[in-house]
Amino acid sequence: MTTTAVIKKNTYIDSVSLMSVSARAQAIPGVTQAFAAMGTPMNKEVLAGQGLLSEELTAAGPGDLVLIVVTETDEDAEPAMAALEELLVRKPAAGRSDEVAYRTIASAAEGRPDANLAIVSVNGAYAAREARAALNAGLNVLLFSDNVPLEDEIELKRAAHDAGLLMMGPDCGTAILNGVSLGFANRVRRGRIGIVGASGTGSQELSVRIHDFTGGVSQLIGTGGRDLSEVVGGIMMLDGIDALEADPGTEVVVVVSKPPAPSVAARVLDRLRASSKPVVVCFLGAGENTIAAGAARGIQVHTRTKPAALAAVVAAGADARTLDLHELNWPLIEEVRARLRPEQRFIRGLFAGGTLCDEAMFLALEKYPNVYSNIATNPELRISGRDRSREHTFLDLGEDEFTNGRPHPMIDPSARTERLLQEAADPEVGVIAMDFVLGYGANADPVGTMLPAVAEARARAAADGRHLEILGYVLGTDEDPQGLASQVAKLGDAGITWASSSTNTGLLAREFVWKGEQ
Amino acid sequence: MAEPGPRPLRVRVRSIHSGLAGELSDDRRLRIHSVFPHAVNLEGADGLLTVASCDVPNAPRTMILDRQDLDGCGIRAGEAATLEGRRIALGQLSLRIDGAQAWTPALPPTPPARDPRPAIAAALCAHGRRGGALPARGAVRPGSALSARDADPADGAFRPGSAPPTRDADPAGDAVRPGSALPKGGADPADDPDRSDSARLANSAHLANSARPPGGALSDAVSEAVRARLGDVIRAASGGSGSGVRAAIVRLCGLGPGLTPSGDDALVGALVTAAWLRGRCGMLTDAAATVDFAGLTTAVSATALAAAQKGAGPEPLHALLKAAASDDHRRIDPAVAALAAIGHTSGTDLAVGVLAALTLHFRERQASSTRDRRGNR
Repeated sequence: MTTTAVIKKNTYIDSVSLMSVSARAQAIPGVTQAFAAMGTPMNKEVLAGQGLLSEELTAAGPGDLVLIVVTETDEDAEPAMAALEELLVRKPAAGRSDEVAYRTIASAAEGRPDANLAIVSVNGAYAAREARAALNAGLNVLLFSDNVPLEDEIELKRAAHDAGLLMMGPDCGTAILNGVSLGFANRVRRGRIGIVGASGTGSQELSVRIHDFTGGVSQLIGTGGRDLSEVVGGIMMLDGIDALEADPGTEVVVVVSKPPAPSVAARVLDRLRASSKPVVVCFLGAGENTIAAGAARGIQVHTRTKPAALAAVVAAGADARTLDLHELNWPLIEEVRARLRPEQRFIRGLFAGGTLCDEAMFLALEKYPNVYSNIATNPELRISGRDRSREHTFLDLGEDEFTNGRPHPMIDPSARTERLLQEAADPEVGVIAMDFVLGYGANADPVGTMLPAVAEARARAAADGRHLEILGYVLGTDEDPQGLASQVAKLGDAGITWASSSTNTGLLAREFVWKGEQ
Repeated sequence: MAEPGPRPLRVRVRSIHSGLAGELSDDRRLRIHSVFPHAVNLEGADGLLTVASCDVPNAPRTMILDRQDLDGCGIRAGEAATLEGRRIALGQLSLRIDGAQAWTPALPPTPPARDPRPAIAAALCAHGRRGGALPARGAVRPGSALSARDADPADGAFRPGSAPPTRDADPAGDAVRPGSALPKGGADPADDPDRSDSARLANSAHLANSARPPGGALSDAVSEAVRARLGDVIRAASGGSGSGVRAAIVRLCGLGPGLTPSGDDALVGALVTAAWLRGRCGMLTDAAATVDFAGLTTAVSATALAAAQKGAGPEPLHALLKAAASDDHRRIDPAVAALAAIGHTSGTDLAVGVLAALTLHFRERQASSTRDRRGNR
């Protein structure tokens, strides 16, 4: 590495230029770091902290402009600095500003004729109008907003379908298009498996498991959670499947959703049966009828994410025998069972990801009758987020009742912190399961921010003479900004049991509190 | 006989900071300190004053011209300008001060009834620019306001960003249409050697305004330091340590990228807000009054800091404080959007400073209400 510095005495360049130059300079061949700033004492202190403060730079004053480039080689240094200085004097080409703020989608579409996708995230009351404007301008749409009226969703999706455009959402939180991550998304390997998902964290989980099983994702298209309802009819899911079918980079088509309305399931399964590519279907918690509908078409309907991801990578050519399938650790399960008292019979799930909550809940339901949740479809098992937990309870803390007026739990742990302490005080609770979602847009240190509360919860149980098992799942990859390994290490350091997948979270939780046939 | 020069171009001064207008009665020579397309700084015995084009908002020690830009007016740094008979001769321009509308930066008469921080933070998510006091990564889910705690830089939990986050590349780069082939595309068009240089540079500018760290690890470090030190200022004031506040201000001043370094912008936002809220926030004003900013930062920034101590900042900052003081928090979003349009990250950094001072203010309010409850028992 070579560091080159230039001081320009009493040189004033406006902030817009100065800061965009720092960004642009990263693109200069051979440059690993570049910095253009005023030579104030504090900026010099930061440079010193980075080991970049030379004697020459020490002499720079607050009115002097300091230019620094760090290059890989000596040879790169001089041309890189010359290029940086050139950037400083270059003005934007006529008619093209580096930064343009457009007031309307229509004007943005006109000003950026090469743009082909709009992200809409305004208040739900206005979102349909903006999405319509984007479609009218010929743009594909990712509609992040929720609370969009159902009739608007149907109209938008029909209009997009007729125009040959994607209408992802409303309430579409994630997508990966041509390697570009939108919304909450994990950094996964690019590959040949395309996903169409009607559930945000379900899609994230699939993409992450595929990555873990050495596969890669070609596209991840979101549809919004209501797409497979009877009234919407799976318009976007079917268009998404068509897009993946036509995508030469996609060799395997995966769909993931909660169980669709029966008529829509039939339509989606019919479309998949006609696909020229291998297909994998994951309808979480699907009942016998849906599974039978798939079987009738020669399609296996997976009800868990991990087997679905495995099927996808195998269809893409992976050899399952060479993969780490993360089997359950039965000795550990036995050890935990032995530590729990007889009355510690219940699971409490506190989830940031809705689909992760769903999957754990469905797995518990396979084994226990009374599993309550704020997202249960069965009204008899549905409880409000304000209610005290009952028996096995799984809460999706990303639901509106928890997020109203506060950030989503993927960002702010406070709602979960409060609930964790509450659950820990219940002497009938044996295990508390939690997810920690990594990726773009998520909390910078999701595990770390929960650790003080976990320690407190444990201490309260211990004061009562109880062991409290805490089970944690980190949804993420080794390439995510937060780093999977360091987050998992924090779980380990804090004595939290690590589940390696959403599926394993549900399986481990239900096994920990199993007391044998009663 | 010397050739007569070109006739000066007469330009009306549209508005002027009332504090500055009073200073310009005596004739004198000024030095052109620095020149930008939309603003020129002049140096006189009383410090810097700014002459700006009409698309620049009112600000302390600034006059706004009835003219769109200052390019091509023969104005060169280091040369002289003259103030004579309420006219300033500047390059080829002759600026008439009389008749200009006086602008007086006003602060709301009362503190906010409701906590405006969630609304400000949410608006920053939508309009804020990264690279200065805002981190290069991390975002919030749109539609859910940040909690007051999240808006608290002192807690290290301040995470607004452009929302929803768009990562890795320009989504405009590749076509995606159902029923047609999904085109292949690199994750980052900037990596595509076939792209023109201008497209590549435009793309990197786009990235600077979205999610990528705008200037790499070093810029990240500076940005992080700005947030941490702003947090130090607030923590020290919360703890009632005047010397601690002063030390933290000194360590924040001059820190960061930009002609007005980000730390200074945040400090200006905090100081103007402090002048409004007073109480515990008065510690910021008192401590800043003991700091000699001239040796710590650029002259432009030091001038802004001096004005901020007196409760004066750019007009959009005052508009935000007015919106924050009102009961109608819907006014906050457009106010933050207008503020964020200043400079590159300057406006965003000013808003971050506002949040910091508000945090100090609401901590004090919360502490006193807690004491009240205890006293009632």
